[in-house]
Amino acid sequence: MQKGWTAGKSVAVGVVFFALLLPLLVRDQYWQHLMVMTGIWIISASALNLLLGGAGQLNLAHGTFFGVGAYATALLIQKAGFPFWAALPTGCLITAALGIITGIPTLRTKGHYFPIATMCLGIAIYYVIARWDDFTGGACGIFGIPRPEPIPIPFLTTISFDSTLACYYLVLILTVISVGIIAAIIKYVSGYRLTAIRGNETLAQSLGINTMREKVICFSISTFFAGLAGGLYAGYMGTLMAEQAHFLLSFDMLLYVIIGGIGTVSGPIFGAALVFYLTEALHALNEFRLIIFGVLLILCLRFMPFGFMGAFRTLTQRYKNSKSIK
Amino acid sequence: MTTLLEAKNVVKDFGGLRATNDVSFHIEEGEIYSIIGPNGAGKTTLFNLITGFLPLTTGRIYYKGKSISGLKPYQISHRGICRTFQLTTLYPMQSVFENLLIGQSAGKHFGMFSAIFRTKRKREAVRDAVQKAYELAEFVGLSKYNDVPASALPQGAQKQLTIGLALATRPELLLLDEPVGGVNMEEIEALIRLIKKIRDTGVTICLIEHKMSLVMNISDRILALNYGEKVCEGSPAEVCSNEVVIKSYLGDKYVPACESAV
Repeated sequence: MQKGWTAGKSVAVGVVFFALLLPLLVRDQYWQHLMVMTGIWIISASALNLLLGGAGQLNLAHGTFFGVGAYATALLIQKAGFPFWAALPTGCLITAALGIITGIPTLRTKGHYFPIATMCLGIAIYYVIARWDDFTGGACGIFGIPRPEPIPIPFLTTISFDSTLACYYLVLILTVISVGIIAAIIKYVSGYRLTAIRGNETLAQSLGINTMREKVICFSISTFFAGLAGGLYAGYMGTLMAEQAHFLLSFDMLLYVIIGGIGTVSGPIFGAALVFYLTEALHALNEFRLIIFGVLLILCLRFMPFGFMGAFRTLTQRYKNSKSIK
Repeated sequence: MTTLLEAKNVVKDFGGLRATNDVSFHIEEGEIYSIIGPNGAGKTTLFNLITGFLPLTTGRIYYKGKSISGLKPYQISHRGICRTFQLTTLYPMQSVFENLLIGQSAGKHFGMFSAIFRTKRKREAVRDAVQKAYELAEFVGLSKYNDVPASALPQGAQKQLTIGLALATRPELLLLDEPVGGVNMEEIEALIRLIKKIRDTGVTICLIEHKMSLVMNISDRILALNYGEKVCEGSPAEVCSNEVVIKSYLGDKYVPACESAV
């Protein structure tokens, strides 16, 4: 728990300020598109990190929940005629509700069984989406999802989301809010309840913590934000394929979290940005880039179990300690 | 004195093995009650039954006159019973101070939604918890280690911390499972002092221990178990002069040491 104004908060404000001004430096449409995508992956990876770094549960259906949010939002717009601004929160709530329903049985499992159970869940949901031709469009996917409706600002102007730049600012605002909420949960004293569960579930119960309830709440918040990222993806991209609900997507997000730093607030942000841009930069290598990621992942797990941000924290700690000794 | 905890005809079967056979006992408010017996006598099973980690086969356990059988461990903890574990169980990566905060995190105002919507009352609750954590560290004698990760502490201090962790839930009945197991003589002294100090604050203590010098020294009453059955219950003097206890657990050579305790 941290009190008052800390170095971490200054850095956070700095990063947000930088992100606000970034489009001034990056005029290229394609790069702006990548920035929007990065924001969406940051939301999703932070949500995964809440459950993994917070409560110590690895949800391999996270990518599928991302897809559920995307499909729920898209279908609410197309089939139910919802405006985007109503479809997005409703889509998030649907994803969170699915999270609670599936979380109650799967979270009863312990150790390695939870990732296995959620992986099965992810595969099952993926096939429902990929095969339900009449409802989800099946393998063909969904096309022509409209961009978010313009927001009128009285007497001044309207904000339309036709441009990538406008979408960038929309995603940026929602990323800041999402990461802020997740950081509040991890950093505030409630994070200690999660730490208790992650560290030793039996001891946590003995200390009076209703571990099942806490895990289900954490799971539903995590899936809520996965749904938010998915809904933004649907509204921004305009097309959805069943691959967006594939459980393998969870491994991409897991890669962001591990390389950035499990359990740190900044980790998923750094990891998503780094790995996503590396993916783009190494585009020419095709699938061989996976070798690079594989090596990176192994090196990370071996030498920096808490990712780049964990290593950074250790280094600053060491520097402080050496200073205090002098 | 009033009865705090009462176990009536408690039976626990693991498949065909009867780990606890028709054991009845009660713990009075404010006393130090010890459970002794050879390995496999069912002492820890009894703790697991009281704290809800294992379901009873038959029998009932009452706490303050109300049945607590069938409640979940966290519900029993909310009622005011907290335990420690035989193997030193704490949060090794976290500092002493953080451990003592974690111990209080089951309280109101510490939920995930509290983190999102902070009110004045919640901030006060947090401030109280921080204050309480410092006090607890002082109380269990670990305030000089506040910022040290629990895993870096010596074994005795870790045992003290597990007791502090249990105290953080503000229990009325504290169950200690081998509080001095694997601890050297000096550290045992500190732990005995701590246990007595806890009793003096009005917390009732029930402990499992193999260290007879400790048991005979601090217990008000003792329950002896063997093969899941109650062998004898009474004051230290009564228990250590009981022939079955001597035969099954203490051994003949213990008798002279026992007399000095009387």
